[in-house]
Amino acid sequence: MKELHLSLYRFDPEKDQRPYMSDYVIEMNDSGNMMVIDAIRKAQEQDSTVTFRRSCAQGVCGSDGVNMNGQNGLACITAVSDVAIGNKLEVRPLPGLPVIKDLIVDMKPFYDQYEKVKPFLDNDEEVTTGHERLQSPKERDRLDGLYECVLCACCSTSCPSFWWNPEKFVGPAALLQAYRFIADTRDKQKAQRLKKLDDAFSVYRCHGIMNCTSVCPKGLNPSKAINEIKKELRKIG
Amino acid sequence: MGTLFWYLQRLSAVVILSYVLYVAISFFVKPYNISAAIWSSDIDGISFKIFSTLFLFSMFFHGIVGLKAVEDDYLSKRTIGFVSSTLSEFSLIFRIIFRVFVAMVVLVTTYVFVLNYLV
Ligand code: SF4
Ligand code: SF4
Ligand code: FES
Repeated sequence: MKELHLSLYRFDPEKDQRPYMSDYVIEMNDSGNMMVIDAIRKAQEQDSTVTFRRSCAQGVCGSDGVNMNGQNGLACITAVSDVAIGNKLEVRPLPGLPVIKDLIVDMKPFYDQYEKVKPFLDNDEEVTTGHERLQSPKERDRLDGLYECVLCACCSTSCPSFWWNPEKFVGPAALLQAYRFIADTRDKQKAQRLKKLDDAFSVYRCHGIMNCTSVCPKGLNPSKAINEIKKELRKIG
Repeated sequence: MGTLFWYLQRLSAVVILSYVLYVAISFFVKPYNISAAIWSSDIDGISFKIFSTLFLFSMFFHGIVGLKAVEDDYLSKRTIGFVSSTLSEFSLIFRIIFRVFVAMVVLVTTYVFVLNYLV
């Protein structure tokens, strides 16, 4: 690809009545490819008002989740060639969250759900052994695929249940974290955590369509974690 | 509560499926097309009446859980707002109309069922 036709979602609530798309022609580098974040930066060189969020540029901080030709992902670890159709690429903010400006969304509804699941180890038993709380390697293995989440919100904002009910459905990212602590043998709040989730919305609004799993840029499986929570709920039933 | 509803919804689905299968299989296996008397004695039997009543309750329960999900998902202020912000102001009215419609369907079906079949 020699040049990319990049179309960016633009909206400044202080100036614009409604959102619109702006088009930019981006010269590709010698390899004919680049990361989507670099294409957006090149657009910003042409128009300094283009606004987006990013920090690490290595898929670690989770701050540059966007929707690229209809698919959520992290712009810094997504190659243009993976998402462009021909030489066209449309980049929009993550769906379902309020837009602050251009590609930047207000993550508050997402973090509110994260806060609800108490994403920290809760154990008030005194440690008298003189060392940290131990786990067997098998118990520790259960946390693999759960703790690596970078909270990019790509999963929750690809989930129709979260779009419809962002205040009541906890969403795949926060449920993955809920299960991360439910599955942790060092945590002592398993029953309370499950009880808090046992209503019509928090977990059961997930219908297992697995959009979340198919978009997670870290290759995690929130849908599986949600099913594990449902199994645990049925055990205490 | 969520888990209880999860169980009830699946249980009602099992009842509905069993009833439909039972009626369909009976229809093909028994000589209903030859003798209307066999048909009427079958459906007037007490066990079939109990099964039918259970089926009706399961249908209501299953349907209402599904319709409640439709109402919560598609008739909320937020969702209607995706289509039109003006219409979204009337979401409560849409919900009331939807509920009245569902309640009427339930009442009429129950009335017809009780009057024409059970009594
Ligand atoms: S599997 Fe559940 S959480 Fe994941 S996208 Fe589907 S409904 Fe949402
Ligand atoms: S589970 Fe994956 S997609 Fe969801 S927030 Fe975590 S890293 Fe992002
Ligand atoms: S900029 Fe940090 S994950 Fe993309």
